[in-house]
Amino acid sequence: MATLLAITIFLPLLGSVALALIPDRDGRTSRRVAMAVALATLACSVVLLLAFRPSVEGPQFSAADKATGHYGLSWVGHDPNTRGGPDIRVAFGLDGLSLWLFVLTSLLMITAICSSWESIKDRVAAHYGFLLALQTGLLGLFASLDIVLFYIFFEFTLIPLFFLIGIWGGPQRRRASVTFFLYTLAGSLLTLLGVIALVVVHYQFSVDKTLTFSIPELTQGLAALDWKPWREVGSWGSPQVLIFLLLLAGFAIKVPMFPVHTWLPLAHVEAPTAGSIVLAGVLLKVGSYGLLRFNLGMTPLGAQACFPLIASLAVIGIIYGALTALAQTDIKRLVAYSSVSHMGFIVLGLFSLNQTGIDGAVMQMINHGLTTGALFACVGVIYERYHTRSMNEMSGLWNRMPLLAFFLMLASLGSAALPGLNGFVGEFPILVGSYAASPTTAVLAATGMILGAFYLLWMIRKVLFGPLKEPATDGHGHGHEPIASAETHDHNHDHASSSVPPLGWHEIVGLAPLMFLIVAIGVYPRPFFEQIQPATRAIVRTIEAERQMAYEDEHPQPVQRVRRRGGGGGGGGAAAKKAEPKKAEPSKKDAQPKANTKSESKKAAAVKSEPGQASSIEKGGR
Amino acid sequence: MELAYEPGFFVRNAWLIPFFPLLGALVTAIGARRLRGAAHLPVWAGIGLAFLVSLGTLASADHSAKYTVFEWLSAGNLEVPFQVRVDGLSTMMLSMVTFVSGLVAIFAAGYMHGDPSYPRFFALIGLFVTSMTGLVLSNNYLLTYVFWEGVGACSYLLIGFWYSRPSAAAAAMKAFLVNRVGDFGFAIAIFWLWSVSPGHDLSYDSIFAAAESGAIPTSAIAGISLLLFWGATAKSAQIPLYTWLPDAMEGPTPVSALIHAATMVTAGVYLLARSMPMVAMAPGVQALIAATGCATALLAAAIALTQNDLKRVMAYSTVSQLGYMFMALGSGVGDVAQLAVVAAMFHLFTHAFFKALLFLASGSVMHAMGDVIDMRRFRGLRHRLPITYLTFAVGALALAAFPPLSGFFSKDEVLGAISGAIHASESYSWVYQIVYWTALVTAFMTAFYTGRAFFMTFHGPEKLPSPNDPEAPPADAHAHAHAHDEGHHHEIGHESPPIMAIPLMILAGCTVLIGLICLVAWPITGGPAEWFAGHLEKTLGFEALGHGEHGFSWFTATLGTLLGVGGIALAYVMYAEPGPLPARMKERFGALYRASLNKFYVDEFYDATIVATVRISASISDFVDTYVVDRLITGIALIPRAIGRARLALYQNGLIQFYAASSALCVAFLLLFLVLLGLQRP
Repeated sequence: MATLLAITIFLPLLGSVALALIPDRDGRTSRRVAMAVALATLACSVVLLLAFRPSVEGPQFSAADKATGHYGLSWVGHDPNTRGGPDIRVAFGLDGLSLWLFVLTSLLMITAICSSWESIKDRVAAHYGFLLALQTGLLGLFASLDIVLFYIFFEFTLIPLFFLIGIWGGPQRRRASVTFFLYTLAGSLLTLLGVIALVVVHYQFSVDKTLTFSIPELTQGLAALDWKPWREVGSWGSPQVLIFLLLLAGFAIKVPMFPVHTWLPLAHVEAPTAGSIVLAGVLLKVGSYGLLRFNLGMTPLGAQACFPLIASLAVIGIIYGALTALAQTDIKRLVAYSSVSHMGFIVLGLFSLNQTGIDGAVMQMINHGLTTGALFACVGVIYERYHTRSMNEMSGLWNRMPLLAFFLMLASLGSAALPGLNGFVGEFPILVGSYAASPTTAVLAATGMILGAFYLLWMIRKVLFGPLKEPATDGHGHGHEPIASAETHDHNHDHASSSVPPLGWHEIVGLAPLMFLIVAIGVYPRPFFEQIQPATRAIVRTIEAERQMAYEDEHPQPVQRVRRRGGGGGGGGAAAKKAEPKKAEPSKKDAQPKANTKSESKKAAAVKSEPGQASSIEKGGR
Repeated sequence: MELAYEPGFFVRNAWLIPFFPLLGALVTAIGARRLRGAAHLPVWAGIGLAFLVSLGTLASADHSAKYTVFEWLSAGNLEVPFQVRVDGLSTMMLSMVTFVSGLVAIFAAGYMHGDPSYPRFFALIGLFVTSMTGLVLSNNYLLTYVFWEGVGACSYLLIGFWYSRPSAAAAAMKAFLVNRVGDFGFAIAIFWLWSVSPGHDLSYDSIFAAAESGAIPTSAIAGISLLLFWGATAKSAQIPLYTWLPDAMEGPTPVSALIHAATMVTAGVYLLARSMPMVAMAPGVQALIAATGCATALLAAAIALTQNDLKRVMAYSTVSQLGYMFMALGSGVGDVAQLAVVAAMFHLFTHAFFKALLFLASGSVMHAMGDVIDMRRFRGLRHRLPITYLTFAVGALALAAFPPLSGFFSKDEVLGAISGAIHASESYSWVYQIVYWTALVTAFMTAFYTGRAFFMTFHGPEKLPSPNDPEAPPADAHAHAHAHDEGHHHEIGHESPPIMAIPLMILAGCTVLIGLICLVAWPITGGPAEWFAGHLEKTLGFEALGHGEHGFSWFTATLGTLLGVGGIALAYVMYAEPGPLPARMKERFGALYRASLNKFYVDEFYDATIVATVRISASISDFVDTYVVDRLITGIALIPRAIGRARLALYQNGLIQFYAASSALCVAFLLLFLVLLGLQRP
């Protein structure tokens, strides 16, 4: 299975190399090859999905070294005897957090290729080549178990997307691609600093002083550091908070969180449909996935300390993004701003730091990928026919393309979190989780439900409802009747631009699986949550364990476990901590709590292998 | 704790009630092309089967009858099983919903005949019934919420059924958004419930048990009740969120009948009735509910007095009658709580029949008049539409609470509940006093506007609509002809075909029958609605509610009847024959008349305040995003460039020696750092 995973990841890259080599005059061969490669990758992903065992907590399909317990193969020089030198490994594996994002990437690639099928006429082979290269980047990123490997894939995804926007984009494509590139690069450099700092801190202060780049090992090790200042997060300058903020910089831009979101609408509007689908569907999830994997997994106390900041930004993002979406007339910009709003929900769920919120957030990452991918594909369908995305120029498209109406309606309602469709089962747990963390935040965020319905239904009303009005397809502008005449405008079907073709097979193939999942997740979400939960539970347990240790650092009485708001909020814990002035502990007493901490940290290190002990810690935390 | 309970056959299979209509809808949707004109058959079958199962559950209704069908959602501590509750309240609702919806579906087959989207219509009707029955069956606040929003979504799609009409598009969106505002309150109530409920269990039994045992603080109970009421005001069209309902008649008339009578609007009343064991513990909220219901009833009746659109009169009358139900619910204080909830549900029950009847009869009129529904454009239809005339008369008399029709008994129960609350309430007695007298005044207005609509439509000299009518708006003829062309072609002025007439007759029969049952059961059980109360008592938490002494109050009944008859008489005098009286009244009360005709400008007020605020903030956000946030970030990005120009450019001096020196220095620092790092290792 480990081999299959590696094959799945690198198959698209091979495909893209093949595209570069195969001579192709009219572009037909290229798109067929690309589709075949993408289908094969999807098939492999589905096999992995079916083989995934939901009961297992750690990464699966990873070739673990039996002797050392390390994942994958050693890549950068490492001497196992002296244990010196950096041990950077090529290690892949999937757990509940990454599994569905992995599959989603493969699935949305089909949609992306389908939506480029007719619309890309220029440098076809290169277009599909970049798309497939991007897929390898994303698949590798989600499957990486090594922090350096992760970072390499993380940066690698920038390059194909830069070219996709820059070559096949709209009129402002150069500005868009450069902005996108610089924005994300600036953030990710700070993230790199954070990543290095994590490795160094772990190297210096872990119990057995190992230099490791393995994500699972770092997560465990950092939760059990033999270094008290690591758990003191009272000020902005404390190490964990600093590292948290460094990591945040890159991921927040990728998500994107308010106020660093402005690259997104620009990039979306200029990107070709395929680029938008992948960008919104998967690339934004890279940000939230990073937040979950690194910010929550490795610096949970920093996350807890920064909860007020992050929650405020998330809520502002939700409301502000929704309001801005409401003011748009360009459908694509509208959907782009809706992403800002919906990603705010995801961040809020993650930082509620409890099981309910995190479960919802992971679910919502998948959901947002599906609905937004579908929405962009629908916009692509419209754009390909009318070469405009302005809602003022069209109305009543339901009359012309009932199937598109069905798809767009379903995707919008799913995005508006209608129960029975996928958005609801993500958004509602997020709100419940954040209510536990901070009721005010949840109530404010819930207004996003109303606003979300507002802009989506507004878009539907403008585009689908009303008498048929089509923009001119031949550039003579006879479709531009003023809206005032809409009432009396008869919608007989012999309009001058009735040459618009119905949805082609490639458009239906691209959208139908998304629609199926939108309904399936909404109707029966339980199996999906079952796959997610073991991994999220582990994250929550890390958070709880570290909270508990921080608590015991501050209260050096032996084995004192006071009932705290465990499942409850990050805010609560942080507030409680602030309420008590920190006492400088007498150095005499230092020995005892340290011993205590040590035993505790060993326990936390053993969390993974011994669930019994873990649950005792969890109970203590609650 | 309920181990002794063994779910019976119908309890275990109650999930079939939402399932059958869903199946019907799916079959219709998938087979749309092949079924075409027969698309109604699967949905008919689905609703019919659901009705049969519902009847079966009536007998198995029990306080503790519940059954988990499957585990639906489990996200962290939010665990929601798909669990059904089959008790008095839910079985009553299920039977009523499936029965009335079934009749509406039969009627619709005639009414929608020939519509190009005929299959879509029936698929949506099936989904609508699924959502409503699911809502009623669920034993869990979140699952109720799921179907609650499902009902909203189906109504959105049905109101906007004729999607190319801009007015339908606007009405559909308004319905969904106003309901979302209500759902917002409901959602927060659920968050709150989740955080206070023991074990984060959202099922009704555990929450009511916790509320009763005092595990949930009183302030939380009051807050949650208030939020649930907020949710209910949207679905059940109460102040301040009632404005969507009158617009909802943009959908096909059978949809209006469905929304206004059996499904959708009853959801809010149902939710509060279901939560009564908890809500009754918050007397302040109860007084607010009663007062809101009262204000809504009065306001809507005042608007209905002057409307010229027959369906619109009926729409406002629905709002008004729902107000009565809320008055009754709000009267559930102290030892009359059970009486109050029975009264509310009984009025809901009878109203479902006669309001569906009135709407379908209006639809029949509209059908016969070629989609004209303005009462000024037709008159004296009693000879042309005899069946519609007679059935409408039954519905109108029931609405006007004329004895011994069903409406008389249920309205009497409501008034009795309010007068009970006057005595039972400790600190809000004065509120119920006001509510009681306002309710009586509203009863008079109800009778008047019902009579007005009836006499204007069916009495006087015969007149059929013509396009050159002075009342016909210039675009009207065109728009209606256009709408018509989506529907059906036939000559105007004929009675509806049997497929439409028979449901009317059945509903009229039920209206009479329920009244007769009350009359017959009265001497046997000691009260006109005791048979109904007996069934409803088998509801979770209802037996613990205060029973109170319920006597039939001759004073209330007589007064109510006199007011009703008075209202009808006044309407007869004014409208039975065209006369100068209405015009004179119009002049006499010019300002009031115009205010009522324009619905007291509430829609305009909302547009000018709330909608405008949102729109303006949207524009501001857009402006800020383009000109502030983006510029700010770009500005920050310029700082390094500026630094580079000002300072770093100096070092790009092209001197190789300088470059070499700085490189060496950097390497030295790096080495030092690494050495120090290495030294620290043990």
